[in-house]
Amino acid sequence: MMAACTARIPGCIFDLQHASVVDGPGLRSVVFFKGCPLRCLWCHNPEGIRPGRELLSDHAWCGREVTAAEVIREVAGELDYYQATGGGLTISGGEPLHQPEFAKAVLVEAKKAGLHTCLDTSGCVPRATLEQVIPSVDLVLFDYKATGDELHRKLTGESSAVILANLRFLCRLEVPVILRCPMIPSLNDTELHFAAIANLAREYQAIRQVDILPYHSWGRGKPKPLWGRRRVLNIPPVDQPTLARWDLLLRQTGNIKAVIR
Amino acid sequence: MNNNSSYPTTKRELIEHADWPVPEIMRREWNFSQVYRRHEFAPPPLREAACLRAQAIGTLGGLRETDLLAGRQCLTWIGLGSEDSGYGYFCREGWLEQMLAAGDTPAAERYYAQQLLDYWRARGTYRKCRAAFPPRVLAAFPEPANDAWFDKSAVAFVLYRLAGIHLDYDKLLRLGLSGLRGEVVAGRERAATAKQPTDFYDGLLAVIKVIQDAIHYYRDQALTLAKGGVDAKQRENLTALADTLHVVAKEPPRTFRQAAQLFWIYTTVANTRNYGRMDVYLGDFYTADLRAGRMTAEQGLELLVALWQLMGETDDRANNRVIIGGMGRRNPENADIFALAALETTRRVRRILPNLSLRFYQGQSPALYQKALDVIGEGNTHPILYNDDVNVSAVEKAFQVPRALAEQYLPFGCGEYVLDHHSVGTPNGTLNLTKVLDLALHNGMNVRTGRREGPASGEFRDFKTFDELARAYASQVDWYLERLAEAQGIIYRETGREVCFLAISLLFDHCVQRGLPLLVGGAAHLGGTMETFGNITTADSLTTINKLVYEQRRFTPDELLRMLDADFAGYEDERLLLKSLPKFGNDDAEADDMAGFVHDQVCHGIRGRAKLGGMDSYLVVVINNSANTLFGRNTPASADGRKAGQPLSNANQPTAGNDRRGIACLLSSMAKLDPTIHAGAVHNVKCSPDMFTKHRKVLEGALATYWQRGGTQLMFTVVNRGILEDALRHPEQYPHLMVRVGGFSAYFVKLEPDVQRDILNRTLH
Repeated sequence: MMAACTARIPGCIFDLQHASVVDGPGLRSVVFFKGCPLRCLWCHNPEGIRPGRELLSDHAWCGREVTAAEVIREVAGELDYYQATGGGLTISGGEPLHQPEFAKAVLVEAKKAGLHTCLDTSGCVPRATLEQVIPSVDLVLFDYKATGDELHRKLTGESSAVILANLRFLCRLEVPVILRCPMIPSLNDTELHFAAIANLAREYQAIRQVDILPYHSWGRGKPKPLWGRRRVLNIPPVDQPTLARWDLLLRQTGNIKAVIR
Repeated sequence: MNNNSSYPTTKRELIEHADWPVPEIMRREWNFSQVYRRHEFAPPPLREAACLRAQAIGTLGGLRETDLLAGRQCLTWIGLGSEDSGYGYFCREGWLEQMLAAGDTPAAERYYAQQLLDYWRARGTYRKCRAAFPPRVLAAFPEPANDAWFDKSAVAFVLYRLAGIHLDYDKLLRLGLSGLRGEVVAGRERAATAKQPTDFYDGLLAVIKVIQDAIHYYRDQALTLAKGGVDAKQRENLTALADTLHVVAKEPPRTFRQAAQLFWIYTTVANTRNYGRMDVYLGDFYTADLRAGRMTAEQGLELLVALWQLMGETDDRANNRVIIGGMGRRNPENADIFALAALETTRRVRRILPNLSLRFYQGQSPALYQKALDVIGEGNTHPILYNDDVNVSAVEKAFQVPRALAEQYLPFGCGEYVLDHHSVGTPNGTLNLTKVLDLALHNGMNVRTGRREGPASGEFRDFKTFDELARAYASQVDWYLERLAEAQGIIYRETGREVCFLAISLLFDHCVQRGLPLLVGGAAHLGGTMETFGNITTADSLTTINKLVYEQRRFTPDELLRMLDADFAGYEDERLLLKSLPKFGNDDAEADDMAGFVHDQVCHGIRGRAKLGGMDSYLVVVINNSANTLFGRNTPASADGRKAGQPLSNANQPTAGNDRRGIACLLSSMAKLDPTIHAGAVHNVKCSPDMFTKHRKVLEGALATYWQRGGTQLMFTVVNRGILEDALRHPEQYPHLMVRVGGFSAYFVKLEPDVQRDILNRTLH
């Protein structure tokens, strides 16, 4: 039976958090998938970078294998809470579409259970994968991290070409999108970047909202082995003057959809 | 013999000391005792009226220039009371003992303290109650209580008190003191005609006179103060206050200020501490004054602030409930206007008292609920929220009363329910269920005292199945319940012989009508309640034992006992295993079902024992304040992985830190416990202020679902900087404290110290 097959598809996740209010609208459960194609300098979820389970120390493993059905079973008990708050299930990571079969299975099963679904993606994925999952996605949280291909490569390790193409593709399909822009002082918070964000927001009806996410250092405390040979970004938290400057830039660009979170 | 250090022993010395004047610091207590002594053998209602007069004269606190309403009561060591600060004819023996023990107490004080102590040890109501316990009852309560019961290691305690009395304020304000007097006089005539004793009515009449005299006492003070050096505004206020007092000394109140004044002065003299449906009994006066232009909204709030402050002065944190909203109000429109003003007052006063509580239901004006969330969101811990859509029918079943009566349920004190001026429901016993389970694991032995305190229920190692252990646990619980029920019955009976509670009986169904004092047939519904502690700790422990000892057979009973008795010393890995097993509060069927078993077992066990104590109802209340922590100190290690001395779970909540799956799962678990078999349970939730502001819609949706699922009650702690700082010191108590930036959501306590400091700083902006 097809249905049973989807439910039994396994994947690797590093966390399943409940009652989140920051990963899409309402109260949500968030599945954090392991594995990511990007290497953002400011990454706060280093445990999501490498695919598969990994050993942190003698006893501690990062990541666990679960099936789509197991994920839904852990979440569905609180379905009425999610519905009453306009919430549901978010798949995040890592990059959830790095495990395309599993991502699709979780989304399909979530829809079957009556859950609203959010896909939190870097956009750095093959078009075909997007096409496969998008019928089961109610809302996309789409990252937009830097303006200019060279800068994007420098900050994330990958070109922005595929990402932008995917964003346009989603917008043309009129899938509701929340654009999420991590803002890192001195790295990407240029006038040009704010202007580009404003242009995207103006150009596409599908972009319902723009979240400016100020840099924070909360990931720094995560276990050392997760970071591999990478150097942990060490810049101070965003201060009030910086926030005020961003706020001014947003108003100058007339970006009415943007909110600093 | 040295007069300065020792208590005189010879007759000559006694006579010598008796000439000394009564020291000022115990003049009030001495005078009260003299009045009691003179009336010791008088009919109880007359003795009580005389004592109440002496007490009122001695303990009414002075009026201040700034007072808008009159009435404050000073503490006394010896007097007549109902709450556990002093029960019946009480003597705070501990205080006198301390005075005698202190090296620097002057000889005269020492002398009089000893006299008073000797006198009241033979006469205090609580002493007489305890003396009436037969040995089989006394065996269950090896500790003498009432003082410092938390420090003792017994499993159960008796509490001597008449907590949670609610007076019929509607009747007081409708009839006024003169109207009440008329009713009593009529009753007295009926009794006299029928050639029945009239003492009770005579006592009631004397009490009305005491209240009138108290009013005059304050009126005279107001007039005196107004003549002194006060400013024009204060003079105007004091004159108005004197006028107000003059009116309510006799007539029924006509204005809001008069109504509030009569309510408060009566309460002060009666010495009760819970105020019931204030929006109902003050709502009509409040709105009538507003509509007639006699009072502006701002003046109304000023009076309410004054009232709230007087309540705050009582410093009685476990009481001082004011109820607003809910089903069964006779004047919902006026009551709503008052209720909104009460919420605004709490917002302005920003204190821990009074304990404002909002009852609500589908169909009530949503403005009240919304305003309540606004007030809570600003960091107030009030109002406490009560869901009438669930509670009214639950009370109907638990108390077995008609719906109209159930609609008059009132949460009091820490969260117990009574029926407004209709039922007595004081919690006069406590049972530490985690200790009961420990007794069951040790065949009835209290490992702390080394004595067999519970019944022999079999050795743990001989139980072949979990059911056998569960039966042993249940038999221990039942053994205690039997004695607790009997004890409560004896307390009522013995107290009834001593005390009529005249000021209460006057405004309580159906004392005046029946001509009987509260506890000897006057009260319409004589109920009782009993507090259970560590319910969830017990349930989680049973879940663990079931899984590891009986299902998986990882440990033998003896191995588990060794770990517990060693307080896990040398068994740290095993303790981590125990802690990792399913716990209540995570919407886990296995853990929550066990909580249901513990809950149902004790609740049903109690309900069935009402008759044993001669009560109309006897119900569990799950209402722990901080007592879960205090009791925890003397509770040995438990199988849920809790170490000895650590806090027990609080009320219907998970043990702190054991709920790990977010607020929806927490609420789901809490809504599972059956509310139709107890008389109140409380649920604390800690939330970040963001939930009330940025994520208000999410919060409202989550709460609506909880109420829909059968949630009965919630109280919030909204986190501010102070709480964040406390969270740094006690992270285990703050599992839900969420912080957010962008796509990264974290629990505050899981973050690194420097990150936490970072967030602390941000909160300041």
